[in-house]
Amino acid sequence: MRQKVGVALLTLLVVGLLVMPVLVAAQSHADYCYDEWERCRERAFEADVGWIKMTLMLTTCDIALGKCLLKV
Amino acid sequence: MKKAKKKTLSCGLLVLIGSSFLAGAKADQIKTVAVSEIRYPSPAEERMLARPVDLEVEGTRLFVLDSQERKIKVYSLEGKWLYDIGRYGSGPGEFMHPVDMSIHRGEVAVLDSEAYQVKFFSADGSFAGSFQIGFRGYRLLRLNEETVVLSRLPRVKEKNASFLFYFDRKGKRLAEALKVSSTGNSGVDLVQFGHDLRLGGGKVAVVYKFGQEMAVFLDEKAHRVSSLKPAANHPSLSFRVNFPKQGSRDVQALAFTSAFFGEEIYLVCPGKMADGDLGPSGRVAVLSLKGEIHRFIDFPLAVFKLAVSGDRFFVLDEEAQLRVFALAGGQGAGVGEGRQ
Repeated sequence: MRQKVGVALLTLLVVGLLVMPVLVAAQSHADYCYDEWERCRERAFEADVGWIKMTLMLTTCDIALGKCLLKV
Repeated sequence: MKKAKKKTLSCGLLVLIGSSFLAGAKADQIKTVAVSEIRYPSPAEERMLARPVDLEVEGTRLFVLDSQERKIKVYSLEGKWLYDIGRYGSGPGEFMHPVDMSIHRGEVAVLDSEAYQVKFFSADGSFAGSFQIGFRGYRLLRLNEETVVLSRLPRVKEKNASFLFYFDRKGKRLAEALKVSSTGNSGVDLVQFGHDLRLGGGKVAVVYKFGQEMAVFLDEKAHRVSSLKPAANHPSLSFRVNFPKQGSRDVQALAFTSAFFGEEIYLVCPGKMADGDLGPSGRVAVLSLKGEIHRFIDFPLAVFKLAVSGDRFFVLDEEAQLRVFALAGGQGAGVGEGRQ
């Protein structure tokens, strides 16, 4: 019994060690995507353009965010 | 992830506004005043800016925040350049990406979104400290000596997120207010939440650019104390927006930008631009803090940014050039000391 628990714990540890870096990388990649998206959004807000053009620029930012998030 | 992308794309396509402009102005009875431009001998290049994002008047000086040059350009009220504050960099007194500023009793507070910081300067340009805010801010207001108010727009998909944050001068978070949820589309979020932060009657005024509510006033404890609805004769423009979940509906554009001076609100009325887009007009509606329209001021150009001091108006035009106007015929109260 004790051996089984030990094996289970060891398996969990190994899986955790394998999965954690992937999760951390995914999270940091998502943070990067959102940072870029916020920069893109700020550039749109600062542009001296009308609202329709600004809305188009913001839509482009959203599409770029979607693409970035998929590149994990 | 695929689902997320699909949704983002579909929302992106949905955003586009079927721009049917319906002029809503029925404002014939309200007095309209004209302005004349004040031309100064200072060279035009002194008044050309790269990407000016905010104008503020304090005492006898005009401060213009330029996000691309990463500096505040300081002018006399005649439009003569005097000196600059700040420069590009990440050190004390430097800016990564300044997006808004607010001045209180000679101290300039600047929101540096890239640095996630609020930075302070004395009016002569010396650095007077900073604090971290932990998010990318959108607008900044110095409410009083001790309190700085910041707003942020929700991230795509963010639900029930605070929109306003009160900090003390040292950066301690004091309060949060106005919870909002993203529609899932940045363009529609702009229509829902696009605003200016101003100081009106000692209160924080969130001045919305679109919608049924023109402004919300909050006290120093972030409690909502009143709101303004547009008057029936407010010169708004109606256009159609496709909301991701609710479908297509008409939205009222209320103001392109705003300025406060004394007990009055100056709203740049929306108009149709030369390229057919919906943007600023040359008409400014002057309202009381209760929302009644006192008068209109007609400028000979589209007003992209505006600051007011007495009978003097500081305008950024389409080419990011600073222009100075005064009421024609000597009307008005004279150049005032300080901006409300």
